[in-house]
Amino acid sequence: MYIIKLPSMEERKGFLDTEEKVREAWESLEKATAEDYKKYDEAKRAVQCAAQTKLLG
Amino acid sequence: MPIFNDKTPYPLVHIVNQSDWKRVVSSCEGYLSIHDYIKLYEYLSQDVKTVFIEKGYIDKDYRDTYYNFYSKKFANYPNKTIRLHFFTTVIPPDDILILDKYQNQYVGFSVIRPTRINTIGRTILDPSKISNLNGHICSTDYKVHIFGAELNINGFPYISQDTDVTVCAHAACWMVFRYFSERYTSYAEVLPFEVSQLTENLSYGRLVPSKGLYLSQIAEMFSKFGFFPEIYIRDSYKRNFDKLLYYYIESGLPVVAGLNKHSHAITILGHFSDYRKNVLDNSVEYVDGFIINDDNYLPYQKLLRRKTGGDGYCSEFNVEDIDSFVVPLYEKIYFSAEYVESTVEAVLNDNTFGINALSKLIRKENIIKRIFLTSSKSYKAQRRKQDLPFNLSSAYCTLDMPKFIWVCELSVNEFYQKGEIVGEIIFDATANHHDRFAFLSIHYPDFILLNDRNYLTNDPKRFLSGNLKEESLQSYPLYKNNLKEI
Repeated sequence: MYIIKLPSMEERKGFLDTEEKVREAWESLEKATAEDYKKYDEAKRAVQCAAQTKLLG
Repeated sequence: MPIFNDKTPYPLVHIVNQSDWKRVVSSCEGYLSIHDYIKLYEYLSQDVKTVFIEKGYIDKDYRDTYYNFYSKKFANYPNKTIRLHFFTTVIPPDDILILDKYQNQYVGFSVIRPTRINTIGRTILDPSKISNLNGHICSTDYKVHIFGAELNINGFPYISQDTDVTVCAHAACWMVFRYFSERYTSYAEVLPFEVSQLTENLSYGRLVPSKGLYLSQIAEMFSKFGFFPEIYIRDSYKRNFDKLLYYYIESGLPVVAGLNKHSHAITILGHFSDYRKNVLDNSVEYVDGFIINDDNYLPYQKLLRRKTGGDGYCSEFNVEDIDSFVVPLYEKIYFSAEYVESTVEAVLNDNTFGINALSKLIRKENIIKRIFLTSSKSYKAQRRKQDLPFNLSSAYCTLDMPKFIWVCELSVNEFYQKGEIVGEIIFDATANHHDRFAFLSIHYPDFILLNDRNYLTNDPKRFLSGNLKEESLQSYPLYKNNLKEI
């Protein structure tokens, strides 16, 4: 229960009010982050190897 | 007569000029090397008016290396240390039993160990009492007892490498470990020799005398201590590397950083920033550099972004020299900074959740973002004390949150310079980065959306949203808890 007063589903007037719209919103965020995520996944793999070659101290 | 009680184990030296510092050296009876005396003199001479010398001090950190290493040597190494206490006022010799009376003038202490080389041991100094230091740092309280009187220091721990058992990487790790064990009861205290043994299952030959540590060994030490570390290397993260480092520092997480070109490791514990600047997009643009503990110098050095132009106590290195860092994450922080940043950008630009789609009061192009990690407990504790617009304080305090959250605060230049924001997006730090609905809430000046993270489906009921009837931007204080301003 939130103390802030928010409109009910009926009052949302088309904003994220169907499963289809929610799915599309997910896909939109997925598409927007895909390139960065691929780059970071590769970076993490590269770090695993490089961490064994950097001698400090 | 600037030295008092000099025939006792507790001399008190009044500092007027450099010759008085030499009395401190002679009172230390060979424990304090000339090289380290010069470091202390140059660092403290502007502020310190009294040095109280506590001979025969049993220091837990030195005792650990003494019994495990120095006691096995042929030459004599005493098993006790000398502790120097620094005050910014002249203390009458009759007051040595009531030194707690001088709490406000107490700078801190430095343990001097008889290791012949690199004699400065455990040191805690309050940076707010030392000239020419400024910035925002991780700090916590340390209690000190002298003749039963209790004094308090707020600072970050420092120790120099002894070059036998510990090298710079061990010293850098010890500083991070001691900060956490002093601040949080869930982390056990680890002493220097124990630190050197944390890599025993990942060693390349004998551990002592140490030859240095690989980055992977530092991460292993962090894991043994109780962290769930993440490693970042500049070559892999390229232009985002400095920004990611800043996000973790802004989160109040000190890191161990590697300077591979110089075969050196340091601790980064804060940043210094110029908030008078107009910035375009991200609070990282305010940052002029980081605050570091380099064990070859005394604490709280400035590590500048550029090679020249800094004032104060500056490092010989600069930010570009950092080519890796290891961040001590808590177990349940699975969502790391790079994925959070990418998700923030995607949300803000999105046709459904984006700021231009949902707010009439502010445009994406004008937004300044500040991304950090914090505990939901601290976040709620601060927000409940503040008068946020639309009763948001109550909304956040009653919102179910995991132990740690990522927050992206939203502001504009006009408000950020006053330390104020106009909105924020809060993320579940336990989320998988492939979960695109990892946010708990999105608040723009005239819009709010709450996301029930328990939904497994695309049921629209997972979202509660509404337009907030407002005609002008309402600002409120940005979150301040992770770092202390000095």
